[in-house]
Amino acid sequence: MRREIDRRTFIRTGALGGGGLVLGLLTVACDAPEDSATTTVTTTPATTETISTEAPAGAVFDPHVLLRIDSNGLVTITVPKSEMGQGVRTALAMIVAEELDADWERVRVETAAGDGRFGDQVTGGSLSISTRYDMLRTVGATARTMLVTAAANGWGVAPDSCTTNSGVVEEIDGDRTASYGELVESAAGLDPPASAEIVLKEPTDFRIIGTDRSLVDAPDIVRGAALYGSDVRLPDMVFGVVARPPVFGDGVDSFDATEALAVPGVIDVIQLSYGVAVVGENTWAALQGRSRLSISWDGRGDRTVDDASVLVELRDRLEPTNPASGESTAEYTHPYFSHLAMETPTCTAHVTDQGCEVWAATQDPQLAKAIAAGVTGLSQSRVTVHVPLIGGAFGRRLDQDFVEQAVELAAVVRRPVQLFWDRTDDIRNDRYHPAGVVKAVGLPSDPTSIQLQTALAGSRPVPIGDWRSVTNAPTAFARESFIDEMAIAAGEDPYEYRRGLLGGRALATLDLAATQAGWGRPLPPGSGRGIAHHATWEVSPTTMVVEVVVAGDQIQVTRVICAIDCGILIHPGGVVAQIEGAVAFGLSACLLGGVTVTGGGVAETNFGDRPILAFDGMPEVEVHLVASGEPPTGVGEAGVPPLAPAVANAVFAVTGRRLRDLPLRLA
Amino acid sequence: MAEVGASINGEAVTVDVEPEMPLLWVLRDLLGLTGTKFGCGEGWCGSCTVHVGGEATRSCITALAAVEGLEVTTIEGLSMDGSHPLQLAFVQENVAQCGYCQPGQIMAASALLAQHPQPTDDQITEAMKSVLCRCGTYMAIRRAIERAAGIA
Repeated sequence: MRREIDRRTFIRTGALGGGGLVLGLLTVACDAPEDSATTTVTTTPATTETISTEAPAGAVFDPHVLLRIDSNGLVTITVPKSEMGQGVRTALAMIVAEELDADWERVRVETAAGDGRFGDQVTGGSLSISTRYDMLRTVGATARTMLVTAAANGWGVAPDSCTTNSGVVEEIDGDRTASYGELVESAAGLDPPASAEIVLKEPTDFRIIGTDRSLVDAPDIVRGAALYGSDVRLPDMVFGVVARPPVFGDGVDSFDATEALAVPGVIDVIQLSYGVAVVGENTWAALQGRSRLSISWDGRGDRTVDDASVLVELRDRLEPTNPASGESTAEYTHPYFSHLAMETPTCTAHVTDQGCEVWAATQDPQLAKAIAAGVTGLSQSRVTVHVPLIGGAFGRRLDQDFVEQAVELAAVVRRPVQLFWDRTDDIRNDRYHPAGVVKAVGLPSDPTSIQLQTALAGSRPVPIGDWRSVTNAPTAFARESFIDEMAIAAGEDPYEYRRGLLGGRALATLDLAATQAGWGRPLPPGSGRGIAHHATWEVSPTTMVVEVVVAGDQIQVTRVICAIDCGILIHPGGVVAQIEGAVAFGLSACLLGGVTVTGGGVAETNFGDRPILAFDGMPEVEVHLVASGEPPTGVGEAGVPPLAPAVANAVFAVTGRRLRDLPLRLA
Repeated sequence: MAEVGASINGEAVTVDVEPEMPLLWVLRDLLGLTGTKFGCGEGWCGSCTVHVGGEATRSCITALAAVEGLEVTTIEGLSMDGSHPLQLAFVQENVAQCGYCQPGQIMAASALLAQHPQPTDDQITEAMKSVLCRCGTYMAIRRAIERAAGIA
């Protein structure tokens, strides 16, 4: 079979295996009203059901904006948070499904478009579960109560003579049953119950919460069918890239687009507020065009800014320390860190006179919507922000610069346009974890005497943002390293010394990690252990014991033992995955390093000069979950802060050398 | 512009573009096969891995002209229905976090298993060490490969 394909027909290539999900996106009108904006990015957990075979049928019971049950029994849960690898589409749906007593195999998950009706949609601070747990349980329980009432009414019995079991209402002392799908119509006619009538399950009755489930997106992910922000494809779509200034604060002085416009496939060259855009029929054409632009930058950025000048400035901001007799003091530093998610912050937008539609893999769709409205001058009711899957975020997508830039371009282009970021765009235009200096002072005989002074770089000239665990990371690196120094100075074992500082749940994680790691047991020469503890955002206490092998000036982390107490476990495997991920993320920072600021810009360009941890650098990670009946708390960031100090402490245990600057370097 | 033909997921495809256009962009922008991902554009990360003649190949640094007349398999063509042993194993082991790199991981791993159905630890490391995952799913990837190979 021979197939002719050009850019105007590629959308019809579903037979090749792509595009199927994308087509569904086209059905949302540009000027969709506020209340109809739910994306069609849908998948089914671990089943072969597809959108086409599961179209809503007949009556619908939708007691809450986040929940819909169709007459065929399909339960659709709309998750009001963004999925970026933390498993939120699975875990939040599990909470609703639990109290609904749904059949998990009949649950479908959607991601909410940016819309105030969904409440706060910011995904960050490891807060998705802890802030939504009670609310999502109530949504599920409310619907369950109404379904039970509908069945009881139909049977002429009291609701309390009925129970539910995996998507079916059952008569307790009889043999009548009704599936949720059969009850949809009558349940939809009921008034919602008073809150006093809504009874939540006892945790001992949980059969979904606390179990390991296949990620709802896994079947699509392994087939390449999951839709990420950069996978959006629309009819008549064009692709843009932007030449951005090499120095923060520079602007365009002048440019010559002649050669760029001569590149086959290049459609236009457009000056924007933040650089010069090249628009092409495909990404490659746009990239080729950009490489042929000739741009003079205005030189307004400060070219004297570099890592050393930032450090001087930070140190100047700290109060001089004047240690009293017997006090120890130490200074810890870290550079700017970049996020380096595998997916760059590519965003797609379409602006017309009537409306603006945006496909943004964002952690803050409501802010994205407000910004798009601001850029276009349209009212927010005419802006739709769809939230595809995010190919990693780590805080990067809390900043909506990438959305603003795409909308600004789309407002000029007036066709659907994807603003693509290549890796260099990403590394050099990140919103970096700010470089910082933390000074510690304390009396070794009194571990509670530790005081920290922190100076972190401001937002100019190097733009800063949120980076997995934010300020927790530098605080933990300084405090947990310094506790080790104090313990050594006091002649005590670092683990035992910490026992005097911690209590309750925190101490339980310390003891569990130390026990599981065999703390105190001898290791081969050249190997050593370090321990560190941190409760990120003051919840989810986490202790890590790290084993390192030092050969010459090479530090290899071979084993990480982690104990964490994050309260009631929603999706235990998800917690383990987040800790493993935090170890990889933390090791990239503490062993491989951040970015280099020089000449007013960032030097690095790609994974070649800014490597991240690879497969062969991954240590064995063991995660021990403390059984707890406390309310659930976050885990997305918890594993990052204790990692670096535990590694530094282990390096000290092997070498006697105290490394106080990230990345940790023996040479 | 020139016509270049190749077999993509078993289907003969001809495109009329610059022959030096990387296969990645032909797949993603011209054919709508977005399962193959951009990660770095320079061959560092492996997110764009496909099979060319059965070999794991970085599509971001492979010109279309270089695959003329050859068989290209993308993640969409690895199996008809997600039933390749590695696809099943990646689901069963819940490997993915964000999932973005997983097509590249699976294509690299499937090329490995085609060559070494029972790979050693070192062979797994060698095949996978240059396919990056920022979420840190490396331990789970190893488990899934071992499961698919029937080793675990």
